[in-house]
Amino acid sequence: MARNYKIFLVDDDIKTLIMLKTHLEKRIGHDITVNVFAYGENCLDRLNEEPDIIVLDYYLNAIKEDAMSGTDVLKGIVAARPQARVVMMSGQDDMETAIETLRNGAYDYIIKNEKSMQRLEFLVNKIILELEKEEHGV
Amino acid sequence: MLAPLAAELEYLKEEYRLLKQENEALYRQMVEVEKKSLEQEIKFNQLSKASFEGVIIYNEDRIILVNHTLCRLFDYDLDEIKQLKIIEFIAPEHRKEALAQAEQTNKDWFETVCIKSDGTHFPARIKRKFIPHQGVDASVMVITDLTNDKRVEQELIQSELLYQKLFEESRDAIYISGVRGELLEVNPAALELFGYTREEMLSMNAQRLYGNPEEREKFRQAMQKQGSVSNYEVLLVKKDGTEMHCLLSSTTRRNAQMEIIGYQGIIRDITERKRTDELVRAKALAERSAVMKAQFLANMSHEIRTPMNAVMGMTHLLQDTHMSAEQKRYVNGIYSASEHLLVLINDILDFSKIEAGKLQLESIEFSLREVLSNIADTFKFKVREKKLDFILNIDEQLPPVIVGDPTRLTQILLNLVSNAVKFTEKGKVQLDVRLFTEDKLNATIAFAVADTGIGIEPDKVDFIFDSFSQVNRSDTRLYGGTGLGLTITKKLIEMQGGTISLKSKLGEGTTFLVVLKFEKGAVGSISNHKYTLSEMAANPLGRLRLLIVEDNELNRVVTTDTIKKWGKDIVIDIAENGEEAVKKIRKTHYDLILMDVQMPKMNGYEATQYIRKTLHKTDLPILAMTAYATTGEAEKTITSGMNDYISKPFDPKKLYQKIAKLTSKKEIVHLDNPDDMEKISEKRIEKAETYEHITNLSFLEESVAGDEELKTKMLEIMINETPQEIALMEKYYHEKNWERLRAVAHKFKSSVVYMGLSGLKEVVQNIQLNAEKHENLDTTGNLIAEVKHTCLLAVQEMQEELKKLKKN
Repeated sequence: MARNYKIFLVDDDIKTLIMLKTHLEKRIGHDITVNVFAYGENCLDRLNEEPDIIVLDYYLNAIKEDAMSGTDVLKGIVAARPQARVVMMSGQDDMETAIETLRNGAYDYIIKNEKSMQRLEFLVNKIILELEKEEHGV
Repeated sequence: MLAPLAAELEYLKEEYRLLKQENEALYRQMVEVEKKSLEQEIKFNQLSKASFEGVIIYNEDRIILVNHTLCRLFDYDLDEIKQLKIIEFIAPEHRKEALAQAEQTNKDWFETVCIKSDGTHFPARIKRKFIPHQGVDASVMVITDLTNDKRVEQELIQSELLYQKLFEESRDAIYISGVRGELLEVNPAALELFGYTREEMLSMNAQRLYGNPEEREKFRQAMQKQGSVSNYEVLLVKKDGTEMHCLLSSTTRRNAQMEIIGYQGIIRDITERKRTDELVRAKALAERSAVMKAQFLANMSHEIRTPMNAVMGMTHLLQDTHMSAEQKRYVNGIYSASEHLLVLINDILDFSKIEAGKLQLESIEFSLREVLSNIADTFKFKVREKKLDFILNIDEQLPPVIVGDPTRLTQILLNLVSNAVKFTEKGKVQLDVRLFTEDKLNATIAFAVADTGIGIEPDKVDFIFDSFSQVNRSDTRLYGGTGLGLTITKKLIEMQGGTISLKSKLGEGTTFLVVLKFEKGAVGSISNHKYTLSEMAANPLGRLRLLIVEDNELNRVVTTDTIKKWGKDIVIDIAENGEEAVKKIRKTHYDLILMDVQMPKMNGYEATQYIRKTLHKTDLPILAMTAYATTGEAEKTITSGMNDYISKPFDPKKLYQKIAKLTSKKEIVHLDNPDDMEKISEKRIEKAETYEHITNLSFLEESVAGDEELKTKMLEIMINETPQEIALMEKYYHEKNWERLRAVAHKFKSSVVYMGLSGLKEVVQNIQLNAEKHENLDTTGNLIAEVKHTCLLAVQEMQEELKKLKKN
């Protein structure tokens, strides 16, 4: 039986969080739970809830100056919960940096633009299929 | 005595008995005959009833029998008709003639006119025969009504007349000939066509009319084979020997045995028509070759312009290096010679475009003063060099903005002024611009270019605007030029509905007067800031990442090195063709693409299409660099999705301007110049007012996919957050906290996307980049002001939208 998949969304832009959460809940056919976090720190605090997928914004300190950066949060996740798939989100201008994060253990990255929601939907579906395969050997 | 009496009586009795017997026999016989006769009569009547002819049987003048058709024919009752005499059937005025005809024994019929009971006449044929009738001599008369026959006959006569008339009056020549070609009949048109008399023609053979005897033979064979020909083209000859191209349509005449006994036909002279056709063909050919010529010239100009770009560009770069005075002089020489060469190429190209009707005039708003001051700038050095005075007088009343083609107006004035400078050795060149007439919409402006030069001989004045003419052949050597300048100038003026005229006195000087009408433009509609060279140096383009797509190595060097001088933070990447460019654009963010049009592998248009459609980079500015200087090419660059174009060889000033305009440094604002600030803020307000909606919520709507609750939530957040985020940017800008400004600007980009303010994306991006690189920090404040202005309008719109949503 297909299980529930837990997704964490981390972004300091409330609009993006709302849009992504709504979009995923509507469009992903699997049983998912989406939790949203405005700060990386809060996300790291709740890794014990065993998220399967973490969508992480690269810049997290627009509002709170001293907030942890996306790179640091990624490092924390890789250390504490290496099995979680981390999808980095970044603007077009720091795409190169985003690619760099792949080397630091991110699963994939998304450029923030008009297409990012569709792209995320695709990635989430892909990851869930991979997980199913791993777990059931289908 | 009794006995003889009795005997007498007995005899008489016997006599009576015999007589009675005989009488009875006779009676029986008579009854028999009468019975027969009755049968016959019945039979006759039955027969004659069905007949179409009237039948009368008569003796002497007494009518014995008539049939029903006769009664019908004459419109009498049977009883009435029996009272008539035969002669009374004939119309009175024809009776005499009819009697005369009837007496001719050799003829058993005649035609006459009969008369009906009501007095109407009808033509009739009467046949007569003597027949015995019941033992008496009788005649039978058969009367046929000829009314219908006569009509047909009349029609036949009429149609014959018609054909005769056609034959006589036809404008085409008509002939009838025998089988060997002897002419049997010709109409007046044929006589006129060939110039013979009727007698001459009827005594000659058609063979003599042919220019080529073999054509006659061919025609004859075709006729025998096909029986007729139509529009058969032959060469015929008039009496005076003139040859004519004619069309011959003919049919054969045959006898009852179907043997050909001759021909009849129509001849039409098509010499004129053929000549017209030939002219039409020649015209089409000439037009096609003119188009080919124009195409050839356009291609040639492209071929010449490409190396010219390298020559001029590199000379330009060389001028900025350290050189000895001698070297400098040589380099300046190369530069002015190549400039001159470019003018010649442009002249030839313009001329061919005008000839081919391909030159199109623009209709845009522009500042007349700017055009005039540019012209004055152009000649500043040249005039100083020749120790001439250059005087520019501008009428105060001239409208500041007019609508027209500034490039072509500049070309007209440049040509006239450069001629004036060229042909003047001492004294002055003066350009006077006056408002001629003016109404609400239009202004007619007079441009006078006067010099104190060599002047033009009076007999040459008329030819001065002709192609390839200079006043003297020797002038060409002395003064150079294609001799096309004034022709082009005149054509350009005429294309704009203007006039050019001149006054000249040999040895004293020449004055050209140009009068052009322009529509008046709106004041303040022009915002294009023109950069001078000093401004270019003082205002580096800032941090830019450009991609130059160009297959020609020399041109790559020229373009790269030219741009590099405009700022130390300009990063330039190179792609040698469209395919390579697409690969690079996929990987790297560029502020601008400079795209050559003609390239191997993917060309500029294809690459642009790919970038726009497949890579979805709709906002990425693409500047086309084209060596094709035709209007068509320019349009093509724009329609293929490029933002603007510059023609090679490019003027560095123009390139700077276009790059500045296309990258977000749209205006280099001089904070110390309040006029500039005003101009820009004016423009922004205008921009906001032009569009009904500055926001485009379609992305948001698409994203919420009909979820109104979600849309409401998003709108509320944006209405609430946007002013806060802008306030933060302002705050950090004033605190000079660049790192924070960068972070907020970065975040703000997603708001801009949700609001659909695509034009603002670049501006915010630049705020972020400036803050990150600590560049153009003094102008960043203006960018923030622009963002604020637009976003506050956007918030208002979103509030309206929210109200609407909540109402529902």
